[in-house]
Order: sequence, then C-alpha cells, then structure tokens
Amino acid sequence: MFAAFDNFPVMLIWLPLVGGILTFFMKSEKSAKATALFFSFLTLGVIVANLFYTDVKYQLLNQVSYVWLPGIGTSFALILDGLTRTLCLLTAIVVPIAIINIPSGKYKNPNAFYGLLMLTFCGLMGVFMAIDALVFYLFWELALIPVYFLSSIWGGEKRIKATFKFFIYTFVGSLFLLIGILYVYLKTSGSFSIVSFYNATPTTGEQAWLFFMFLIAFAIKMPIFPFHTWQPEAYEQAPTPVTMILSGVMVKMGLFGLLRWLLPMFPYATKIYAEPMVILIVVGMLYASFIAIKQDSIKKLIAYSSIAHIGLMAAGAFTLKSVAINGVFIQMFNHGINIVGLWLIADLIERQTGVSKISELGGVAKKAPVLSIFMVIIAFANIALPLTNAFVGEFMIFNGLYQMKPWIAALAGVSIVLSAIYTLNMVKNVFYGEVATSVGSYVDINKVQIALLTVLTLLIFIFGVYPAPFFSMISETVGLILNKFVSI
Amino acid sequence: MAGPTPVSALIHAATMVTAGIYMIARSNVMYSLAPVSQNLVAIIGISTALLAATIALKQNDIKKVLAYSTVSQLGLMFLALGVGAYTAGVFHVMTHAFFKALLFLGAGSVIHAMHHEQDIMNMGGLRKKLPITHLTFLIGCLAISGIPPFAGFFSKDEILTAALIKSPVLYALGVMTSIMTAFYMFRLYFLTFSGKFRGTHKQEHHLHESPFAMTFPLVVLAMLSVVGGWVGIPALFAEDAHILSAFLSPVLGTPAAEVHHLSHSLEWTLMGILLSFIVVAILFSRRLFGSEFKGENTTEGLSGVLANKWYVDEFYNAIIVKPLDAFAGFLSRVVDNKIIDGLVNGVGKAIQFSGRQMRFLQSGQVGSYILIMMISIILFFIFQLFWK
Repeated sequence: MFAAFDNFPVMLIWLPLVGGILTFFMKSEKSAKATALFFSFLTLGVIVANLFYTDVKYQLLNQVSYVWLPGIGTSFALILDGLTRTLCLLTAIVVPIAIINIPSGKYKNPNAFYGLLMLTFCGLMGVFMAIDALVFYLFWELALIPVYFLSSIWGGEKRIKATFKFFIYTFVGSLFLLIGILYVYLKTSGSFSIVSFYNATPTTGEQAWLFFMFLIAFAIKMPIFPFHTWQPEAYEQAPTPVTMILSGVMVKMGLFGLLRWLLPMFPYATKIYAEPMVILIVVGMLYASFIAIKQDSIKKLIAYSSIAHIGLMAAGAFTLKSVAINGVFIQMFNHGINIVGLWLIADLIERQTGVSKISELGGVAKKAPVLSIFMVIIAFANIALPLTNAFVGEFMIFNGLYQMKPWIAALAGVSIVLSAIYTLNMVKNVFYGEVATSVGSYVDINKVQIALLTVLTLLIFIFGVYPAPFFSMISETVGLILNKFVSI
Repeated sequence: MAGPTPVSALIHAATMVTAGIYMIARSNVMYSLAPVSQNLVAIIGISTALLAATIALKQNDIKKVLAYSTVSQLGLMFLALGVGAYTAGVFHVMTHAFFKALLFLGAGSVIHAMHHEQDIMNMGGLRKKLPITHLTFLIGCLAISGIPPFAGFFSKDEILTAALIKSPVLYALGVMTSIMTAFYMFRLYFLTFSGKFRGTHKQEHHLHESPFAMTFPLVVLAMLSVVGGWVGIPALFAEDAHILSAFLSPVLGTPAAEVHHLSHSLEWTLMGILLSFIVVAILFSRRLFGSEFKGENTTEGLSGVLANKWYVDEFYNAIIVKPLDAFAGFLSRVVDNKIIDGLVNGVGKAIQFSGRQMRFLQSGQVGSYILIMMISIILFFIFQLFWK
C-alpha cells in the first residue's frame, strides 16, 4: 500500500507513527524522550522543507492517492495545500515544544506517554491531510483515542470525570459526522473522495440538515458556545503537554473541518445560515469572555479565553469574505502559538509553586523577570495588540465581519476589550503586586525554557510584522473555498 | 500619572494628547461637513476643560495637579477643534508639549529632591534649595497660565478668540477655565517653592538641586516655553506673522478667525480683561498659599467633592465595573455551571436513568415477561378497535 516513500504527505504520516511505535519500546525515559524528539524534529524538518515545494510542478510530491478499499470507493488520499501546510506546520511546532517542556520524572511509564503523544501527532497530521472522507473520519477518531489515554492516566485529580466527559462529548459529535458522511456518500457515485463529495450537491432541503450534522461535530471540537463545557475541565485536568496539543492544535480540527468540508460541501445551506451562525458565535464569544473575567484558575482562564478566540475564527469563516477567511487561516496558526505560550508559562508557574490559582499568586516578576518579559509579550499577543501576530489575523476577521454587518463587528469588538481586561488582570495579579508566600522562593527560568519562549516570541513578532509570505502560501486554497460561493 | 515621571512627561506632553487631537485635526474635512458632531466636540471639550480644572484646584499630589491640568488643557484643545479652529488646536498641542514636559520633569526633580515625597502639603520653601528647578517651574507655570510673552498665551488666546466667534458662552467658559488654570498652577507653585518647609527633618536635610542631566532638559524646555509661542503671533500684533498657520494651511485651510475679523479694539479689550483676571487669580493664589500659608486644608462640602474628583471614578465603578463583574459572575456561576453544563450532564444522567428503568424489563422472570406480553396485546387490541 505504501510502496512509495518519496512524497511529503506519506512521510508526514509515517514519521510520527514509526517514532511513536519505537518510543513504546524504549526502556528509559531519556531514550523515550530522545526518540520522540528526534522523530518530531524530523517531521518538522519535512514540513519546513515542503514549504519550498509549493509550486504546481511538484504536485506529485504533494498529492498522493493509494488504493485502499476500492470495493466501497475509498482510497488513501492525502494532500498538502495551503490550509494543510498551515496546520501541519503548527502541529509540528507545537509537539516538540510540548515534549521538550516535560520535566524528567514527571510522568511514570514515560515510554507509553511519549509514544501516545507521537500517535496523537500522527492522527492530527492525517486529519489535516486527508482528502477522502473515510480517511478523514478514521484519523479524526485516531487522534482522539491517544488523548483519551493520556488524560485519563496521567491527568490531574479529577481526570477520570473530565476525560470521560470530553471523550463522550466529542464522540457523540463524531457520530453525527459519520452519519453525515454516509448520507453524502450515498448521493455520490460511490466514492468517498473529496471531489465527489464537493460535487454531490444534495438538494437544498437535504443540505439544511446535513449542514448541522457536520456542524455539531465541528462545533463540539472547536468548541463554540454552547458546546464548550467539556473544555475548561479537560484542559485543567489533562497533563500540560496534552493540553498544549489539545488547545493549540486539536481545536483547530473543528475549524479545519469547517473550511475543508462543511463550507464547500454545502454552499447553499452555508449561505442561508451564515448570518445567524455568525451572530450566535459572536454572542458565544462575549459570553466566554465574560466568564473568563471571573476565573480564578489560570488554566480555566486560558481555556475560556481560547473559546472566545476560536469563536472569532469560526465567525470569520462564516462571513465568507476573502479577507476574513485569509485572516482565519493565519489566526489558526497564531492562536496555536500564543496559547501554547500561555500554557507553557502557566505550567512553569505551577511546576514551581504548586499553585494555579490567581488569588494565591503574586509578584512573580520580582523573582523571575525574564519569565515576566515573555509573559507580557505573549499576553499582548493574546489581546491582539498591533505588531503581534494575532493582530494581523483578528484585524482581517473584524474587517470581514464589518463587511457582513457593521454592528456585528462592533459587538465582536467588545470581546477585544474584555480580553484586555482578563488577560491584563491575570498578568497584574500573578506577576506584579506583593510577592505571595507561594512564590517566595521562585527561581527564574532556565536556558531551555528561555529558548522555547524565544522561539514562540519570534514567531509572534515575525507573523505580526511580515505575514505576507504566509498569505501567498494560502491564497490558492482560500480561492478554492470561495469559488464555491461565487455562483450563488 | 502613576508612571515614572519621565514617562508621565512623555505621555502628557506628547503621546496622549497628540493622538486624539491629531486624529480630529487630520479628519478636519469630515468634521467641517458634520456640524452636529463638531458642536458635540466643542461641548465635550469645554466640559472636560472645566471639570478637570475644578478637580485640579483641590489635588495635593504634585503629579495629580499636573495630570488634571493636562486633561483641562486637552479640553481646551478639543474646544478649538470643535469651533473649527484646527490650527489653534494644533498650536496649543505644540506649546502645551513644551511647558507640560517642563512641568512634569520639574516635578520629577522636586520628587527626587524630596526623597519620593509627592504631597505638596509636605513641601514648601524649596526655592532656595532648588534654584534651577524653581526658575524653570515658574516659567512653566507662567506659560500654562497664559501670561505674555510665554508660549501658552498665544495658543490660548487663539483658541478663545475662535470660541468667541462661535459663541460667547463658550468664550466665557473658556475664560473661566483659564482663570482656574492660573489659580491652581500657582497654588502648586507657591505650596512647593515658597513659604516654610513642611516636610520631615530627614527630607529637609536631604534637599538638593538635581544633577545636570536632570536640570539641562529643564532649561531647554524652559527656553522653548518662552519662545515656543512666537511662531503663531496673531494678526492683532503683526500682520502675516503667524508662521504656523501658513505652515499648516495645506492641511487645515485658513483658520476661521482670519476670515471673520473681530474688531481690533474688541480684541484688545478682551485680552486686557482676561489678563487682569489671570493676574488677580495669581495674586489671590499667592495670598492663600504664599508665605503665610498655615497648612490648613479643608475637605468639607464642595472642597471634598473636588478633592474626590467629582466622584467620577466611583461613578464609573458603580455603573460599569460592578455591574459587569456581577454579570460575569452570574454567567459563570449560574448560566455556565448550572444551566449549560447542567443540560449536558442532564443528557448523560437521563440516559443512565432510563437505562436503570429499562433494566426492570429484563428481570429474567418468565412471569413478568408474560405479564408485559399480555398488557401489550391488550393495548394492541384496544388500539386496533378504537383507531379510526
């Protein structure tokens, strides 16, 4: 089946998979970590190399299709295009950072821990590259399963309850997705390929409910209000590396699903529901922002802040305006970088103080000035101040919302103010003020942690100042999505 | 205001004031076409100027007085924009930058000498110990009060003339602001530099003039506060001497004041009256806070309201911060935890519950199976009989 190993998509699937399996057989924690890191860096190398092979003449390197189950019309088809590259690159950046940040001796059975992380990595790559509905569904579930084990074995105190809820919730969503896929499959000439799915064109009446079948799965994954209640607990209870992957990359599966599958497949329904969806999502954003203000746990605050930011991206996708969709693409990447930075810092603080409650912290800046500098930069990126990466994406999304309806943009704009309130309040209470007893003996970050945060900060500034190359990478894919809406 | 003094100087002299004024001056074409909005700008401007000036009358923190004076001057600039005198607004931004930076840096020098003391009630008599700071601070106070030939006089005069052309009420309120400005600035000056020292022994022992690095900028800014206004000499004194207006005319057009000429005699009279009011305010301030100042500081009645800044902070706290916080708390505790999460968990519980109930159907006892079968059959027959 995988005779050829000479193209990018296959390498991106195999490297994490092989790495993960090898990691399982490692005896010591050191070798497990080294193997996982080696393969994740290799994957990162492949995806970075791929950025130089985007031209049409390399199509054979970027798009492959292997015979898999011809009887039911499915083939193992993968592609690397603008959307995929964005998310694969993000995944390949987030996973090594999450792995490097794991302190030694923190998790028992480290070989299994690192191995499962790599399998999640593989699943995510597959989700983003699949252009066959069945392959997509397969990887969609495959990415979920290792996360279930990771959180329920190595998670926090209330891990069982949180993980169970997370799993059931997303699994119910997946079922709707499966039903939707099967229904559309029956409308095609017996093929699961994305092209036949795009051309299936169910009637407007069918689209109306199929739209929601797919939407529920994606909305739970993102998550958007009111399907979000699994998230704060799951983020809080999952081990930090898993939380990073969950919030940095996995939630993008929902957005990816919207852009790759939902919008182009059901253009009529999308057109009808676009505006009510945007309004609902914007209200949900404000709702999450308000709740974030009242959170005392840093982790829950980040979780609700993420719901608000993801909501903005989902709203941007539904505007169907070119500028907003471009913004969503870059913002998916930027949000991943920023939120991983936030988790990294939250983890560093919790690791030393054993506390993650804002009310029990204070004055960290006096003890750890270097950490605080990074925190302030990342906090500014979370608020989307100019010169940071998030400004570029959010500005473009707001532009699209404004084109749709000015008052929607105004309403969504309130969330920026709210995000400034909760982010700066958190920075103020954790990093400034009196030194709390819990941070009395705080030691500033070490060289490895500085290196990690420097990488994130550099990405924040590069994408904030010069995002142009990124847009040329995605322009073709954005055009393909919007083309579906030209004739209606 | 709470920032380090050089930062305050920068914010108050340049960044904070320029942003808003610049935006409106830049968009002058739009504002000129929208008289309602422009009038609103004028009204907001003059109310800001008055409100902040009254607050500044009763502040005891050296930097707070300066901060509220910035707000008040900012109000005057907005008044200028609102009455269409864009050049005058920009002119005042410029002159204000000179003397406000000077005053803030001077305050910094005082605070440095006083060992981080900011309360002017604990100062006094610093004239001899800090001669350079004293002299430059005095120039700053004269400039902001609008005494000729200091910088503030020219820009303020231009704003008030433009206000008079628009409406005498705006002019009168602007004059009131100017009088108050002179009063509170000299209150600040006298309390800080004249009279007897009212601080602790340790502070008195510590008093010293600041080093060259701190006094040099003061001197430069003092010079600018003197000559900075000379780029905008009104037509009243000399024809075509308003260099700034000519410089800005490609963007801002010809100022209205040059189109509607007031009679020169009226202008001279008004200027004379205004100046005498300002001088009286300064003298009054000297009598109250000069060398005979005893240290009394009433906070009763209106004074208390002013000292508490008209309770604006408290007002905002009550109508915005608290309700917002309560609303967020309600969403977090009730809506999210109880309703939405309750609904989600409720679905799970309902399934568990129905599972438990269904269990009785599968009890394994043949008798109960037969009973259920019989009931079902009877129900089936009833259904068949009575349907249709």
